[in-house]
Amino acid sequence: MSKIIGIDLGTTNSAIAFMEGGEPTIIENAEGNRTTPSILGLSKSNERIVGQLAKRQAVTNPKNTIFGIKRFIGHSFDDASVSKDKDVVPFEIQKSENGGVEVKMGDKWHRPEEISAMILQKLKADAEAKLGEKVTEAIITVPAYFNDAQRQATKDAGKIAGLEVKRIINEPTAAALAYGFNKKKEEKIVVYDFGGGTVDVSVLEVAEDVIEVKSTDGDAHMGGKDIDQEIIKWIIAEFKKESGIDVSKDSLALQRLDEAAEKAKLELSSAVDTEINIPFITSDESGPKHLLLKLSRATLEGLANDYIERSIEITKRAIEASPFSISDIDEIILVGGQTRMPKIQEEVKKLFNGKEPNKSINPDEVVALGAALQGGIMQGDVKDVLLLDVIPLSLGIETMGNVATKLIEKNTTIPATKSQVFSTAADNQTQVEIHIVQGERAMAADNKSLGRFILDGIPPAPRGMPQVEVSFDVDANGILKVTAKDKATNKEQSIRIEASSGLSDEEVEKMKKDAEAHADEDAKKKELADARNLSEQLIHTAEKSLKDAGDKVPADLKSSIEEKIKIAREAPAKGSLEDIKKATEDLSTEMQKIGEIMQKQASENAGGANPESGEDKKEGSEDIKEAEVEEEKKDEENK
Amino acid sequence: MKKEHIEDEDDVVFEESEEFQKESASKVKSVKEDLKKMKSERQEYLDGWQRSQAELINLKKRHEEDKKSFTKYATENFINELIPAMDSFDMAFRDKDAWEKAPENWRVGIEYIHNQLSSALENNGLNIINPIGEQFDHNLHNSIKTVPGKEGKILEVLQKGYELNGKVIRPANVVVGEGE
Repeated sequence: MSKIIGIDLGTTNSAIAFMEGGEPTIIENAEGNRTTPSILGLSKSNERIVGQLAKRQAVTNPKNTIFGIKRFIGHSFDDASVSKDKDVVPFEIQKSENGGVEVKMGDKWHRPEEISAMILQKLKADAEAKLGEKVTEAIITVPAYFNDAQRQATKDAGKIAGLEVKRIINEPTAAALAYGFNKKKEEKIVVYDFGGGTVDVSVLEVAEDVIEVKSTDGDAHMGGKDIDQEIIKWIIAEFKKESGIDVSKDSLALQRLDEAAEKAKLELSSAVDTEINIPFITSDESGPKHLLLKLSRATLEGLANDYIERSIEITKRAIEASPFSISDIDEIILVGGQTRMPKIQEEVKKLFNGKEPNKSINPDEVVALGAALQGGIMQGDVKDVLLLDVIPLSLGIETMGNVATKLIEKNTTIPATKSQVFSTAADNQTQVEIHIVQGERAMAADNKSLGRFILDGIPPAPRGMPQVEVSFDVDANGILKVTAKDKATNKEQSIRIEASSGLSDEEVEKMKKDAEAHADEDAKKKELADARNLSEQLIHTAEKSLKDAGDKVPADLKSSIEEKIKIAREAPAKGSLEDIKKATEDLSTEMQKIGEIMQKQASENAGGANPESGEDKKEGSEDIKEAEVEEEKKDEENK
Repeated sequence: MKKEHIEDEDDVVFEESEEFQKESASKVKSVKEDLKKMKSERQEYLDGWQRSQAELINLKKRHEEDKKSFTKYATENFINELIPAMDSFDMAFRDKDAWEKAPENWRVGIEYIHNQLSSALENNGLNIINPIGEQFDHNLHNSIKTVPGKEGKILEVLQKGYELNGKVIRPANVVVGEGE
């Protein structure tokens, strides 16, 4: 069973998405872009090209580069909109035998469905390349105002492209799906779609799992592109004022202006002003001329004002045509790249009496994502049992120095399992206490204690040698099972902690905030604890090394090491973090001298018996290596 | 319930009443139905589990591919931001007469700076597309306008194009001939 892909077949741009890991995800096209221009061209060498590449040769090949075909699909030739549109396009249009529209490309006449099909074919091929499998089924979106003929024609386009169109859904409905609003009861939703070339507003009602379109309104010939044009006009006018030069007829200057204008518009969505900097834009008898203008957000808003006002009027009309009033509306969704403009967000919010519109999902992609979600629902990808939770706070155990060591990070999707191997802190330690904590603080005492238990029967051994595997297992209901197992004896102990024994939502929020507030403090505490642990370990190793080396260590070195050990031991009580670190370092340096002496003696003895401490160390490591080998064998058997 | 006389210890036969038989039969039926339901549910879960597993494996593969292309094009965004600067240098040098009017020392200095920038970009995989006189190719070029001239020939390069590790990140913006 292959995946059903969701396709937003737009007038200017198209996008495709599929369900991955239970979530809708955009599929990048072959050029690495997340949207594809809805343009089809027949090149001079008779090659059919779609998307960005078709756009590039549009100017050299205007008669054979078809764009905006969505404006003609499903229409009769005699429709008013067709008469208007056909005069402004460079490609030829004629009436077909059955009264529909035909478009000329090369020396053939095509129905709009065939043109759309060729665009869909590229989208399909790109999806197959990315997914590594054949794609045969799709959900395609259409504007809410599309009539039966337009919907059928869109379905036919899919069929011609080799796709079984499982459903045609409305674009605003797809957007609502992407936000999960289909699960709400009797919600009234307005979808405000301000795209590159069109503005569409729809009023929806969610009732009993079905999303109904109550009314629509829009302008098929207004969009972000118009605002781009206003910016370019402004730049040309400002530059003329400053320099007296009119660059509107200079193709190269215009090209650079184009890029700069779009860039400026994007920047002003996050900055309050931006610089338009085009050095050497042109030249005259007095030499080269440079363009450097400051464009403020306020000025941009002035330039875009007419279009924004019109879009608000459209929204008001759509609501009037619906059975609802402005105050009835529960949710507003923003669709289309242009809605990233702060002023548009502000005006929409104002219109709906301060209600915050939904814009967290990429407005260029939300429709395709919703279509993919619809496909997922139809394929059973989206089952309630598969709606998985995350754990809100990290889970871990208390380790040496009262540090909280995390085993499962917060926001991990559950069910989840994580294991880690720990060891003993003291020589001949025959039991370990597993203290389970929940929270983000660095020290265990600052987190919530969930439970504790003891694993005993650990064979006496030097500290750090026993291997105790601690496993955390959280099931889909949030029930935590912690198991501690001594790998040497296979003895194990476990505890089960109910989900409810954790923290309430408010407590979780407080925990998170506390962790942030105390982050610096906690970092210092942890650093201190780590330094102490390191120091203790080093003291232990130093004492052991001295003991093992015995007479081989000269008396003066032995006493200087013992002195350093004393300082290191006293440092935590007396001194600061720096003191502890220094004491540890000094001890470490001093200890290395043992090794140096041993090496010297060994080479002097030229192949004689290895120093005892060396042998011990080797045996120790061999033990561990054997353990590893055994585990590998076990793994293979399990395979 | 009648018990038959027990002939042999190993051979005990109980004759049940009709009622008991009906009860048993319906119990067996319901257990069989449950079993059928369980089997089908089990198959559904097993299927779902296998699909999840397969998807995880496929996801990993796609992730690896994404990682590879990410490292390849990680610098793309940064380099895109430097292209306007490259364009500006080209604009400065474009009108040779005007450029040569500038004092030589300053001119040469700026040309050196341009070389520094170009080398740095080249070392990071950037190649320049300067297709003057070539045939128009939509894979590499973007036609800004057409003028009368040899059909399909690039008569003017308004802006050079740039290719990064095999990917065209900015096509060359060109003027193409037509009609002859």
